[in-house]
Amino acid sequence: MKKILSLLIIALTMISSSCKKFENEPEERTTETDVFDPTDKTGTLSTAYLLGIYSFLPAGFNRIDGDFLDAATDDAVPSSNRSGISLFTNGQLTAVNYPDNNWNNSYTIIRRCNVFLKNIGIVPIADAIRQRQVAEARFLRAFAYFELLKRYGGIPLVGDKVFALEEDLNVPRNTFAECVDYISNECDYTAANLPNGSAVIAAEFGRVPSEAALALKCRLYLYAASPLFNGGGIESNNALKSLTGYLTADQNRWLPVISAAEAIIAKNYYKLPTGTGTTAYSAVFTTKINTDIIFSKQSANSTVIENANAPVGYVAPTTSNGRTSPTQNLVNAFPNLNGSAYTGTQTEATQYDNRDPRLKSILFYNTVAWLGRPVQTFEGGLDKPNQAFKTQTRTAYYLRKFMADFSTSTTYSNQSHNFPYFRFAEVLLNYAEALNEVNRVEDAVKQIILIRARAGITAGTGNRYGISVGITQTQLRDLIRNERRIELCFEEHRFFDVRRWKLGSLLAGSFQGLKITQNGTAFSYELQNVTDNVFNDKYYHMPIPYAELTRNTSLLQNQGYY
Amino acid sequence: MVLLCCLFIFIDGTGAQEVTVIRPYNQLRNDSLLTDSLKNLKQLIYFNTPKRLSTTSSAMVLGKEFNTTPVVAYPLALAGRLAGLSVSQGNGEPLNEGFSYRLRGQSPLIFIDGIPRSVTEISMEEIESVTVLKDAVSLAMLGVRGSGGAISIVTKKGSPGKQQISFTGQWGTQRPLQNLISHSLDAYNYAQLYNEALVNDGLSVAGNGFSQVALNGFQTGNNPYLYPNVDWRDQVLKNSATIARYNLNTSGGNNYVKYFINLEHINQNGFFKESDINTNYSTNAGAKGYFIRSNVDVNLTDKITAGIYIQGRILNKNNPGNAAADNIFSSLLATPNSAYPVYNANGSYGGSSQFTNNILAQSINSGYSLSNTRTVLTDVYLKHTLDDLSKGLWVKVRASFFSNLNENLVRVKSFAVFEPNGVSGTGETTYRQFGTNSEQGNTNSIGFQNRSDFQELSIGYNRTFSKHGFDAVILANRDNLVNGTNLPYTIQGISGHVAYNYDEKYLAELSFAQNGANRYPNNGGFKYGFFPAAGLGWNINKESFLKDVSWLNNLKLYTSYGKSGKNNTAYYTYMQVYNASPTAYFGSSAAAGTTVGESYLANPNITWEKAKIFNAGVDGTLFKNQLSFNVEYYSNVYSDLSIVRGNNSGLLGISYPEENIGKQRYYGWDAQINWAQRFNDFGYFISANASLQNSKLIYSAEANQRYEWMYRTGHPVGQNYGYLAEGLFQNQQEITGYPTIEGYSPQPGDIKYRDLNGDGVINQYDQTTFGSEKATVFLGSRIGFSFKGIDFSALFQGVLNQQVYLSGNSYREFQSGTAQAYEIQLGRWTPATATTATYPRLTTSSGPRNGAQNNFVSSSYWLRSGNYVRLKTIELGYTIPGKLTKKIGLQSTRIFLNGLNLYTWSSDTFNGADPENYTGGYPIGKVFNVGLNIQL
Repeated sequence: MKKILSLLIIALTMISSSCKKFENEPEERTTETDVFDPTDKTGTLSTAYLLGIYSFLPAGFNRIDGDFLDAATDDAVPSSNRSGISLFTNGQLTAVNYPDNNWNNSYTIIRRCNVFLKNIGIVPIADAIRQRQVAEARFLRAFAYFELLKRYGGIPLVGDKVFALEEDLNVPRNTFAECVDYISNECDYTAANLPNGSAVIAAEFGRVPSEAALALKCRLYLYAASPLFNGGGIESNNALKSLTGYLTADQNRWLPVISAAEAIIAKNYYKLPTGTGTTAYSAVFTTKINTDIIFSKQSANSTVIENANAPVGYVAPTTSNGRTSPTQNLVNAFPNLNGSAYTGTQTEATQYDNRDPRLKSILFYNTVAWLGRPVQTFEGGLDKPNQAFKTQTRTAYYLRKFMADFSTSTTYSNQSHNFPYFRFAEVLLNYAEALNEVNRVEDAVKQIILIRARAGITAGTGNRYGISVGITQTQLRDLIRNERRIELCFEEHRFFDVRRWKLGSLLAGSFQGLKITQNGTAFSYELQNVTDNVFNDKYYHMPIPYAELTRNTSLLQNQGYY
Repeated sequence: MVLLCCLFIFIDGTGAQEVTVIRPYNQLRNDSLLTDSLKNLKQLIYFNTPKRLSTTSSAMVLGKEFNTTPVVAYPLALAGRLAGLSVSQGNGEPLNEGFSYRLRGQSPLIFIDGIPRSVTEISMEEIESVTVLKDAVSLAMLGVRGSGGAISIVTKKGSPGKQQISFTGQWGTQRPLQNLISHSLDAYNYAQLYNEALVNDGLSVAGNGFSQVALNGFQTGNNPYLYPNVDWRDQVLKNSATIARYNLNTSGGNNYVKYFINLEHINQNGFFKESDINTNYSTNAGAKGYFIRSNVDVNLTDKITAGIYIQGRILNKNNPGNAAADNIFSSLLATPNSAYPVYNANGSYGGSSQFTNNILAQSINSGYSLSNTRTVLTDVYLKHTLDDLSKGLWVKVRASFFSNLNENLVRVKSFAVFEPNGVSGTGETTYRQFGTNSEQGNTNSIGFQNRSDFQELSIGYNRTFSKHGFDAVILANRDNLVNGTNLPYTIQGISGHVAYNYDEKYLAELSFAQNGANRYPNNGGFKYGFFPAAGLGWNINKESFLKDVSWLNNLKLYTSYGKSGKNNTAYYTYMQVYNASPTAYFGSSAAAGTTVGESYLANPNITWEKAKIFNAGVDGTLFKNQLSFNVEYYSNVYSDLSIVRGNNSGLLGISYPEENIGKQRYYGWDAQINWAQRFNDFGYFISANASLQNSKLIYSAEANQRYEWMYRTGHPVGQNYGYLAEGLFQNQQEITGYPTIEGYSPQPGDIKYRDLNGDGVINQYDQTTFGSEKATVFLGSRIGFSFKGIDFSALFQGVLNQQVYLSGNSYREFQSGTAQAYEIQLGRWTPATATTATYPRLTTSSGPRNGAQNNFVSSSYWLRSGNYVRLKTIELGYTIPGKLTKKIGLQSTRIFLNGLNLYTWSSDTFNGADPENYTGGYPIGKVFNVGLNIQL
């Protein structure tokens, strides 16, 4: 008996000794009450939550399989033959392989904003700060909706709802009109409640200023008033047509563009920086804080752009990839130094002289200086070696925009590379386009002159900067579209601008580049077709990603896609 | 050498008494009788039942059948030996073999001496038997860990009698098996095919391909520095490597103590070539293992026994570079023979801007790294028979401690490669450098460390009253694992088992467990479940109507059904947790702001997965036990499986968590047949096992599909999905008459697909599950004979009705535009060879007419038969006659020859490659082995 007892005691002590207290749940983790803490007067973690939403804003530059979105337009072709960007131009785009699928990312931003808005009331921060942060969250949400709207048309609006795991997510698409009204209301609210750009301190640079909300509203109505969305939809059935645009045209939709632009100008903080010419234009993109940039995607200083896009013959410190090949068509769009349209030769080196100074800031061409030697884009040159497996330019041009001036340096150094979402120059161009459309032609000309003056175009007779006296609305429309193409190239505008103007034919056909042969010290130039692009009417709108259609049975696919 | 640990605990003051203890079964010195008695006993972790009284499903193999297999990890030696257990090996790298073992389609848990341990490398000689537990009655007691089945390893314990010492030495040579379906192309053929592919894709050869000068260079080989043709496999791999194993063990005992002590060392070398430039270290991928075990059982008194089992092991692995063996094999697949020379004219390593690497330097000039794993395992138990309270009653308490640590020592360096890029003014070649030559670094880090402790208290009862026999056990146990910085993970509960037989004719068994794990809401507490199981059996041969059938020795029908579970080891995923979001930058100096956001969406309803396991079978022996057979049918339904739901909508705005909503069914047959006959000096045996496994996906919350053939639900789990291929387009007329492909214009030589919905367009609505839905058949067969001192045995193992999907850069050409191409591509479609083409038209996966868009999507074109049967092991041994060896004091001496993976019959798909490793991984070895065993 004693034996059994002692045995049992040994057994029990062994088992019970393990019942010591230890942490039941990992205490080091951050939970919802830590983030939205009713006792935290400074709202440290709730502010960190808001700042975290900024990280989901879309990146720019070489974001589609290593290429710019503009490599799917008439501005450029991708240097690589295997880039996913080609799906937009080679007729192979489907709802399954669509490479610019931002659906999940946008709804992530929307959800995080809604979580923030739902819970910020708990945190005892000062009212002024709360008002600003709520407005920031509402702006980021409106921006995410706009990024969806411009691609697909109407999308499901979820309002302030934070979905739970078990909820029914078969939410149908709202009409285009409903989405525009929603985003516009959000912009009005946030413009009134965000601080002006002048009040955002340097340490907080990157957070949304009030002018950004006005700029978003300006662009929103610019798109809504444009031919494709303003009653010009390609759909045969009205249900689909009202999802991707207004059913009927209305010229009054241009008016909010004008009032929003005037509101930004009236706040008198954002303006074109002083300075003209190539260096002034380049400085907009490499100087982190300047008055042209209203809202941009912040990133660490780096040499990412140089490494991705510089000509392939440069290896300092690592091989450059030369991803983007701007077309000869883009070069032809640059006017002369005096502002008149260029009609001269395309097969001489002289075509680059006496042109719009922005050309030298945007492109590399044969013989221009970079990192201590001239660029060699002739056949067999260092930057176009024609070797197996080697990605190189297809047009004898490379993209220079967004890089700092390294023409005489020997190596790159980290630069500021923030992708601009909203620029003051764009506001002026939107203003000019809207003014022209409501027949205030001369008012529109005044805005274009501001852009051209900063670009370094000479003033000419009567300070017209090359715009002819008595220019008609139709002529000025083409001039404004061309100015917009050059000023905002590679900032993801052309892709959507060509579509909203219903000028899809501009994206079809062959685009050209140069084939340069070296003969001793001279070069001979020859035009050649580098691509044969396809455009169908269905490409005016992007397909709703197929995966989403199978999960949400209320979604209707855009016309032409399966 | 001998470690005799004795534990004497004087509880009541009386000393140890010399009394013969009677065991439930007789333990005899005679080896073959011991074998027979083990074969007739089912050792099912928590209880042992004689085979004739059991309603469970299990299979057993004795350690001595496979303990001479020249492998480091013992699961590799079990392939083909147990019905229901399938073992496959991914590659041959020592201690990184990528093997997986499945029991009836699930992942079983490994138990060593009744305690769960995920230890797959121990000394082979320690293993007395391996039993796989397959049905509900045997698995119910495992509670939330049982639904995958169990592999139970019982180690050798000593037995009373004279001390036995055994020494075994084995030396073998490994030869690499072919690891690619077809050989890579030489540079000339590669360049020609590449140019052809460019034209197919609509790209210019002038701008993107190989010039005529280059083609001439590859063909003539007149400038090997500029136009190299390098077979990289020959550069880095050699054709043989050694493997050796030494084992010394001793066992014995008397009526007070019995012991088994084992020491083993195994040394398996790798296939990498080494270089004289590394004088102080090796860059080969070899492994060394050192194992020691001491199992001691003590009779403290006539009623109390105690034991202490200790095992320790050290595993040392050497690697080129930083565990870079896998990277070297990836580089081999990604680098064509024309890429760059091994050395440049000036002696530096060759390289190019496209491949800033040199495979030889990756192997011999990247330094080395060591991985050291050390493990200690200690079990102690105390058992008291309580016959004075009630005859047959006993109580036992045990505890165990396990500690495991893996340390990595990384001593690597980088190398520079050089590409010639012109000629300088003085006529010398100039080079461009990629990478840098660095000094060798020296760092160490902990790879993983974990420890666990285990406690168990059990009470048992074993008694027969006239015709009624009872064997019952009830136990409580707790297993606590601490892994890295994680909070402890504990599984604890009570379980029990009762077996009843009436006259050994009618059998009934019941098992249950009330068991659960922690890390559940709220507060990380326990969630318990009740898992019952019941089994019934009938020994028909004992019935009067079969009593007189002389050739029928045993015939038993049995069935069982019950519940089991599998715990999800997710780390507190019911808590909504926030952590640092992706970085966001603010301010004039682009400082990273502090950001926070949800890590994942919490699922407050997590629970363990459930299984309902059904098994029915018939077991029999005939003709004086010379023929035995066993056939079983099983059907297991797994529910509440932890999966991400199929209809996860982007509107949620965050990733869906795993939810317990999945449901699958696995069903099939297991069969085993053995025939053994003995005449005086000659005996032989033939045995075979077969296992048919099938499955069905019952529910996975699949997203809505427009057509019913697009659903995966209702088909076998993991079935291939894609288009149905109907051959290649032979000419343009065929294309014009055919449905269009959305987003692609086909050309002759492309694969044509079937339009399932008849809408004239081939797109995602024409995808469906494809491939055979028949059961996969796993076969194993063992034959052998013994005659006087000679013994022979051979094991065959195979898989039938298996299909493989061919893809990736080990089979297809020019993947990513720059990888290898193979002889299989020589059979590609060209206008001239259209009728005999065995491969679609070539593509570089780029360009306006990129063929990969159509030909490399998932389709039935690339699905081929993967059947094979292997002569897995074969052994011939000779025991030198006892009277000769006893003169020098040796009890017995046996010399033997054996081979592993010597020959494989496989489907034409593999073209001679190893059916388990045909995608270019580290080759599995064919081993020729000779050994010697001496017993004193």
